[in-house]
Amino acid sequence: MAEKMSTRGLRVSFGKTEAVKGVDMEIQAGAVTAIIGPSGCGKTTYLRSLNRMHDYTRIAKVTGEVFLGDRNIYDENLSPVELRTRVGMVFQRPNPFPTMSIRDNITFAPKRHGLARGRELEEIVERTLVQSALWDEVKDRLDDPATGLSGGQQQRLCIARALAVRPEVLLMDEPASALDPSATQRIEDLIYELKKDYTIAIVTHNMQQAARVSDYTAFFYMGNLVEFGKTDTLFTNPKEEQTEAYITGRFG
Amino acid sequence: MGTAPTPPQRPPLQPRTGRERWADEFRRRWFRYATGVLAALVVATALAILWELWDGSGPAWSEWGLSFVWRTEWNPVTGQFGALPFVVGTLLTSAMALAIALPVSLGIAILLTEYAPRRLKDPLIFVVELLAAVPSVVFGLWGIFVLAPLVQRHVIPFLAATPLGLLPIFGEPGSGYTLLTASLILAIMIIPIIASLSREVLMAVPRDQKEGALALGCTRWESMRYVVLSYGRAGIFSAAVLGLGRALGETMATTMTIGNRLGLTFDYFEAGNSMTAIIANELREAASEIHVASLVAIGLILFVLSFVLNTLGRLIIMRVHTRDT
Repeated sequence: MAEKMSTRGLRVSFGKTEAVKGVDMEIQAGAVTAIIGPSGCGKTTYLRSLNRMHDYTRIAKVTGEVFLGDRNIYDENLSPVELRTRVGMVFQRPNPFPTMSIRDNITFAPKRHGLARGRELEEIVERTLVQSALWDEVKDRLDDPATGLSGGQQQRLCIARALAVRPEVLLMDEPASALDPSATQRIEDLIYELKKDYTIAIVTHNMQQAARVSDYTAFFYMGNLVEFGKTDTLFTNPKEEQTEAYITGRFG
Repeated sequence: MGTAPTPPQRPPLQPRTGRERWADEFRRRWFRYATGVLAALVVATALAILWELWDGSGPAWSEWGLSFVWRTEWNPVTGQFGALPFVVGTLLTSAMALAIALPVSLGIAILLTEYAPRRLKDPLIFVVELLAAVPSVVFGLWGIFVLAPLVQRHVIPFLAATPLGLLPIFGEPGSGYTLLTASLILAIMIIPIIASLSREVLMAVPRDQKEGALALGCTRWESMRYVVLSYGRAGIFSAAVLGLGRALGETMATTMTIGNRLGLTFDYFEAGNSMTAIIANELREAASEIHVASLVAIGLILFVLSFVLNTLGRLIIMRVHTRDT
């Protein structure tokens, strides 16, 4: 398997606090990479630097390199706006646009970017909703407001919305932490399906979830990458003592 | 191993004595009645004003009935009075003021929430809010000495030369005291209200809305324009309604700049009049009973108009809210 994204010496600081302290890591193509670690370990900060979401946080400073393929995405010749259509993101709390219908939530970005019109837009709506396993539940009410959906449905809509701009990589920041167990289950099944077509990086504080959905796992602690490896190896036979302490529940 | 710390021991709950119960009950009631009375005072005041306006304007209504609202003549000598020119003047100036102030205020609000660096932000907020504290008579003076000449020499000739000059609401250029001058002053006066309320609305939009749009490859502007503004539209609408309310009721600055000409006009380049201006100008000198009653009747119309507009605004906000949630 080839790597889809990689970081070299990635550091992120907010004012005087350094949240990510020089991380070298690969994210494999067509696989799910889970990032775990206790609160404040820098896992979300790391994830958000992969699609330049720190750009508009005034005090944030990112140094080091992040590659998508062989391009450094922090290269000033590359457009962060275009980058984000290739590296999409799903957030911790479902954030559908409340003033838009289910359909408009999905067609909003393709329309704005001039990617599709008319029939093609309808196809995008159906394709992405089928992919996000929401189609059967909403196909008869595409014009209803998105906020009428349940939390789990809203999160799947947000996944569909992210897929509508045809990203290569999908970043997920604790996508199920605001959902109940059965909605979580559906999101996890969905991640398993989506990795056939997309590269996925998921931050989670739930170790069972990481073990269930991911192929690779990275353990972060205090802004450093402590250990990275195949998920089954890392969970059954961790090399580092800190990793073992965390996954056995001795801290965090 | 030491001994476990003992939890603090407290005596069992004691029942209240009859006297204590009575005192508790008294305090509770006293507080409820006191706040109730205070709240009722507000309602009573509004009703008293309404009654006073109704009572004082009685002669005008019994003379002309509801047609007083759309009669256009105003002549204290012959005793003929009608409200339409003033209603039209108020509506035209307030509407134009809102049309000018809303985009400017939104621009300020967007700058302050999204783009301004911290160093610039706090001073800007201070200045905008300072503008709200300027007394309206000062705005009026500035209108007379600066804005009116400017409008006469530059703004009107400029507008008249553009295709906008062909609109029926823009007629022959004349003096500097025009509906347009009053509209501009009103616009400046309501910008601070609309801008600071809109800023608060935009600040309250959850960050993940903006980031959701950014993560889809939207530019900062697109996420502001299509997602954040749309999320805050009910709040922005209510900011606009509050601004409009201020423009409708503003008296001093309007009176000083509107031209105070009698007679119906729809022409922004002409001198006009407003409901507030006619009352401020004539109430003191009104000699006949019917003249006073007509002025009070205009006050009543203004009161009702503000009330209706505010209610309408609130209804629309409520509808947007229920649809969104």
